[in-house]
Amino acid sequence: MPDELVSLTFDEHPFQAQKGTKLIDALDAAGIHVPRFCYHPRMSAVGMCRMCLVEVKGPRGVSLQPSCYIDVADGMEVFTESAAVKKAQHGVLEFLLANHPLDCPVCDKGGECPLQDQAFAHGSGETRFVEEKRHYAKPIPISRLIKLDRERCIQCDRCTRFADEIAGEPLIDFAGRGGALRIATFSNVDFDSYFSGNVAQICPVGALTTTPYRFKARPWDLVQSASTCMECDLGCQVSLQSSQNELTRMLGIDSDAINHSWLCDRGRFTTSAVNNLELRVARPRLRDQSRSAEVSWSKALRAAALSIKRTIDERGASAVAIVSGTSLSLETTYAWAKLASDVIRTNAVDGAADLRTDASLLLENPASINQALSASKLVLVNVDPKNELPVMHLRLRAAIRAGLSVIELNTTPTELTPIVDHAIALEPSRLGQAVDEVIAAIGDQVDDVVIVAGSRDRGFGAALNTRVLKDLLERLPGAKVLNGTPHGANAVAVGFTPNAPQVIRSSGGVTPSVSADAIVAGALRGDFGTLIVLDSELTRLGMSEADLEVLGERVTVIALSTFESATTHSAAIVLPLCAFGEEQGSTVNVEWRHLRLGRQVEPLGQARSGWMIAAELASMLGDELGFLTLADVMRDLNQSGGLLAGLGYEYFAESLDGPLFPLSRREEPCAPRILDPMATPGIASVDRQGANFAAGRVVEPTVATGFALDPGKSPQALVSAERGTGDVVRDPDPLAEDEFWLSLVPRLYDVSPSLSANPFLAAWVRDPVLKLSPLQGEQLGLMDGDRCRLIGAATVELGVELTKAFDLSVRSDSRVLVVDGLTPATLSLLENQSWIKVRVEKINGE
Amino acid sequence: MARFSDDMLSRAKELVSLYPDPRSATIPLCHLAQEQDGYVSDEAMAHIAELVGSSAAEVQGTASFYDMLKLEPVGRYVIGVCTNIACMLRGAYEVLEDAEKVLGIPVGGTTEDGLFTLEEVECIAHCDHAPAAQVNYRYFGPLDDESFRSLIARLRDGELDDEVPPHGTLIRVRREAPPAIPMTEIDRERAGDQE
Amino acid sequence: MTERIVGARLGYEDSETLSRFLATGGDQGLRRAVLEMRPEEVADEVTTANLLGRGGAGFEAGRKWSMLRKAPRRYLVINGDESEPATFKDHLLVERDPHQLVEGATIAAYAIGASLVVIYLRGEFALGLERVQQAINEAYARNALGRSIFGSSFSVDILLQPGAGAYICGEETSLIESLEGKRGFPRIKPPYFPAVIGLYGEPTIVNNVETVSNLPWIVQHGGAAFKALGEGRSTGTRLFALSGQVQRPGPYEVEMTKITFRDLIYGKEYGQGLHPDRSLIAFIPGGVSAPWFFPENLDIPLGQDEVAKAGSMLGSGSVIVMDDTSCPVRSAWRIARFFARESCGQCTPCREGGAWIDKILRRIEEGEGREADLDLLLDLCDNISPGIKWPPAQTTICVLGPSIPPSVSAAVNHFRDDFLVHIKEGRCPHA
Ligand SMILES: Cc1cc2nc3c(=O)[nH]c(=O)nc-3n(C[C@H](O)[C@H](O)[C@H](O)COP(=O)(O)O)c2cc1C
Ligand code: SF4
Ligand code: SF4
Ligand code: FES
Ligand code: FES
Repeated sequence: MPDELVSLTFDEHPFQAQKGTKLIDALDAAGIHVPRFCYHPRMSAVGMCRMCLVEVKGPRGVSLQPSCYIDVADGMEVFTESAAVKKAQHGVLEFLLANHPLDCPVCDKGGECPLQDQAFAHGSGETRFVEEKRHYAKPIPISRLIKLDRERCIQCDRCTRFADEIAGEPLIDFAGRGGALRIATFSNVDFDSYFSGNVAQICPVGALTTTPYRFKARPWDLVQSASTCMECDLGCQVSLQSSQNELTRMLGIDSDAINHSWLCDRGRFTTSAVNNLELRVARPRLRDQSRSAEVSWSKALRAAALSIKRTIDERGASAVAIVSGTSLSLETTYAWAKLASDVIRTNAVDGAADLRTDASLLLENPASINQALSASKLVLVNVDPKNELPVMHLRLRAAIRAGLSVIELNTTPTELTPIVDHAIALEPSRLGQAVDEVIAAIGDQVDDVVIVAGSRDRGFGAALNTRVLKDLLERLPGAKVLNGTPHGANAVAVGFTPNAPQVIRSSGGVTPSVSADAIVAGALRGDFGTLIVLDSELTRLGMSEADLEVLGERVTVIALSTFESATTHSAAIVLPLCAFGEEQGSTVNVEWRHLRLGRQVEPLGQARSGWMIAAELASMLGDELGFLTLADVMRDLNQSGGLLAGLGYEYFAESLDGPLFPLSRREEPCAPRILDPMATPGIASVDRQGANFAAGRVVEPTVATGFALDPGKSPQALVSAERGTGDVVRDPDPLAEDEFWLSLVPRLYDVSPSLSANPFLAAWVRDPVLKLSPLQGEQLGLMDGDRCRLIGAATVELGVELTKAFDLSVRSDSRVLVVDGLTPATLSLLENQSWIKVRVEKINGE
Repeated sequence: MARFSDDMLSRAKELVSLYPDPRSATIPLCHLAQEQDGYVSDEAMAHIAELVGSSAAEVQGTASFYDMLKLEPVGRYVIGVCTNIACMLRGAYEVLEDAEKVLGIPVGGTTEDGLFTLEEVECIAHCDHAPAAQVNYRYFGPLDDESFRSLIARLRDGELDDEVPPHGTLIRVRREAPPAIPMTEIDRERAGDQE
Repeated sequence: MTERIVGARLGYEDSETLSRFLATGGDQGLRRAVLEMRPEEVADEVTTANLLGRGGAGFEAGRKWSMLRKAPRRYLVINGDESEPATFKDHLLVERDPHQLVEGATIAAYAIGASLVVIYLRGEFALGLERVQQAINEAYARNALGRSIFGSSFSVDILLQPGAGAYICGEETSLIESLEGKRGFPRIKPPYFPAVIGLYGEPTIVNNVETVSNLPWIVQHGGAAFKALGEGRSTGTRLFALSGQVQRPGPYEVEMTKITFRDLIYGKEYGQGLHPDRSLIAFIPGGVSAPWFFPENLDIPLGQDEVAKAGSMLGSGSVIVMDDTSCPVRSAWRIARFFARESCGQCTPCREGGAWIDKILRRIEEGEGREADLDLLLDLCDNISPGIKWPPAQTTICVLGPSIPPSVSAAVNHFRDDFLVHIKEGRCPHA
């Protein structure tokens, strides 16, 4: 059925199209462009603007029909060039311009505005409208990020459709009727959505603009390159744009495999953090006692190498630890993996601190995003797509609307819970039962099951998390797995984290075997001599600020960082890293797809790419990684023989999205990239620009004098607390009467250095709360807005929030308390790596 | 002004229960809010959104589409003078001008005592009594300057209180019927029919 | 008045009461239908009667019912949103004979096997709403509604839904949206023909108040008796709403095709002619969406096809009379302004075009016109309804937009001189 073809004629030429195709898409495919405004290929058609009218011959003669709305049919005769069509299109355009203000010169959309383009191409140039135009107050903020200019609006329903249909947050809607039809938010409720920036991207005129981009640049001054958002590992494809060596904005590219043109605001507005020079680390610096001073690269590198060497000499290679919790580029991750394994030769290495599951399980039978979304059953395990992989939430919503059956297994409800088929509670006392329930829910549809394996709940430790995944895979031998952890895919791919298959081929390399949690704990105990922190914040990895103060007395901290943070303030050696958009490279996403990273601006100050720093440290340590250019790194990976065997940049020349790895994975036939020629005019041309990948200038590393390492010394194992593999996990002890299990879950806007550095997003960071269903509130005697004390490994004061949504999805006998939001304080509630019991006390007001 | 009072809330819930889809009760609930406060306040819209399962922006989107639903306070009597074709042909604009003079307010205005709001409205289907007008959707006509003045006077004096309740009260006859027959029951009955 | 069907009780002062209703044949049609006839038989009688829809489009009710998609749930919606200017027949029926409406709706529900009936009445009909609610309550009380109606195996509920003031909600798909709690944006046909995808996505019949008010009579007297009245496709009687500059405006129920517009406007039992010193310049035969007629069209009979042949429509059954003291520019403006105010706003040509035309006509009427405005008006009309022909073509979703051009083009083409006087003298000569 889906492959059925129909024959029809376009302007008397025969064409064939797949049954069920929208006429406008079939026309596009035939190279016939019909002007349009309201149609968006990723949203349902509404046929409102009437710009796309064409003549269609039907049983009752020829009539004008909206080509965006009707499907192709066998024998259909379509006319796109007739006098009637031209007259109608011309008429609609004139009507749209009648009340449109003449402020193109000061409009952000000017120069890339489909309405302006249409007017130039088809308008008469002279207006017949001599009446007074409609007036509205302009522009009005409808959120901290979005401004609305109603006079420019052409009532195309794109923004409102996005909010309702795609995001599921109908916080903007039309108000009024007829000529007074306008976009409105409700009274004092802002359009606060994780996805608000998309409406500005899809608005075909300058009615919706983003505050960060307002008046930043004119479209013709912008240069752009194709890149991949690095705020999470979903790998949303973007057009990264800059003007005069400053990043100006990011737009979503419609990748059929990944983001369907959408971005979340956290990703879209990262450019504002990159541009916040005050909170960027621009130069290397060394701390001497309590004072820190900027130094030259060679001095800083020498100090770093000295520290490493001294640690190795004095305490063995395993006393050098390396951690990271963010997404570094693939090249940087690999260079550091090689440095750790072959040069430093330490096993205390974890580049995927957030990963709380056995990395090898993710790679055995991997699923792509599209495979997950077309599974017979999709099982979400310990993952909150909206807060962790935001655009995945949008894709899941669309897939569920189209019929995807989802089973959710989470400790705490998510925003998908109300629309999934089965929501099954993960609770310590009923893990086996929960797995049974999943299996029962799958029934006999076992053929095409995909599991999204996440690491969401920090209270639900790695050991249990792994065990649940293992149990599920044992019961569902054919199931594919999609990685659901938002950071660390590159580290898993190159074996820069415990349990991941190793790809570094040099014999005698050292395999990572100490998890990030163990590294952090060990560092505090003084088990390490040198701790290297790769673009991460130690307070996000479980240290408190007080810990940081004493840490320096026990271990030399080397922080490579883009942004200033508590870690950079206390580190002995600080090395500036290039920010997003300042370096070229590539990355792999959760489905192990190789994606490009574009370079649009010069690195700030003396910031360098992480892989170069690794190469330089290697040579200072008397060894060589053999990396002078990015291509060297790539060649190494290409020949690695592991997951990434065959990797190369040449794929990018062929298509915008790189291939899935391992290359043996048969890629499902990918629908051609769908472009929305309205509203994102810059993006169509990225296709062409993208082909020039790797033409960017690569800064040659400076050569510095090194220290010779004693080659005879073999590493000695120091700590070996591996990430739990699940074999030896006991069921947790029962709870006392007043005890609960703590569920600690992340939010998209949890405090982090890049968020703090973002003037437009920092305000979104909110204090963590104890989130209760009204029923739980009643049981605990807590009301909305109360404050309470939570007593776990530490004692933390929190506000209380009652959420009706929880009543529907939290089991009435649930013994789990949910803390929403990761901060150093809430992380301090945890202890080790498994469920923690907490007690709660109400704090009485004065 | 306010969310639904307890009494209104129970009526609201009853209305919601009548429909196969709660959202269908949106407009009836807006009328109910208007009966309570004379207009549909923000608080009421937020409350309606909760009751029917929409967002407040959607309730506002619906309410603001309709002329009868007032999102700002209006007078106790909303006077709508029809000026559409049949009335216009019989002198409606003269009546409207006169109304502005008599009430001392322009179209769209409300008298200082909060008693009258004046509107120019489209045909109210009373064209055989043209020129016609409505007061809180109770119809009068044919009107001339004299009968309009006397209408205002009678409203002021409370002579029409029985006929014309304050703005917002639309249907004073309440539904008296057994609870709605569950759709599933109807489904079964109809399925039987078809066999 | 030849024969009275829907208006049979209107002669009684207390026509809206249950006692009058029952004393004058009330309930008999419904009893007969649910107790003695199968649903198909009821539908067959309606098909035989060739009852044309009275809401404006004039589509055969029996045929519409037969097109209902088979599905376990189907709905019946009675359209009482009557807001077309100068149309007041449904207003009369709901206020003066609410029981007949409820009976007719229940019969229709039985014939099509509706799961639920909603009577959607124009919100401004406060009195009508109260009376219909009263009639519904009384129907439940005597088991003419609800479970096992009159002891039969047929059960159905009727809900009364008040509109809230938007002409467009008379358009059936817009009405359905409104009934779903949304703004009244018409849906696009295809695929949203209510009989296929209607209320809540289920097949739905939308029938006008007057249409279903005919059903008790048809069931009682048989479809053939109905068809015996009138001629050709126009069977039975219709309630015409006569308004404007005639001596005796009012509702008149007449047998279809048997009298002419001249009879209706000038006849002794009907309009009784114009003001003695004035003469007719134009009349609109079927609501303000219809192309205008002029004195030379007076002898056309009141029949659907007869009017269509002359290039207009009977539409909603309202006849508006304009005499020589009226200003055609002003009339055209007022009609255009109505549509501009009532556009739902979703289609560009209607939203923007309507407002633009309103502004131009007002400017001309106020003496600020330019000669070029006349061609501009016609061209804008052409961009809303290509060719400005009848029946209209459209660049819009529903036919509200294309309802603007008929009046504008009639006025501009037929009364061009009046326009030119406005423009040259800088004022309205009739003011
Ligand atoms: C703009 C517009 C307004 C309409 N208004 C009404 C109305 O007020 N009442 C009505 O019965 N039909 C109205 N209709 C016609 C309805 O769409 C529909 O055809 C009718 O209710 C069907 O009932 P019938 O078949 O019994 O005539 C309107 C149509 C349009 C396009
Ligand atoms: S604001 Fe933009 S996207 Fe939204 S309706 Fe208006 S023109 Fe369309
Ligand atoms: S023609 Fe006018 S009223 Fe009809 S759908 Fe379009 S904008 Fe709305
Ligand atoms: S109506 Fe087709 S693009 Fe707007
Ligand atoms: S035109 Fe005024 S009531 Fe109909």
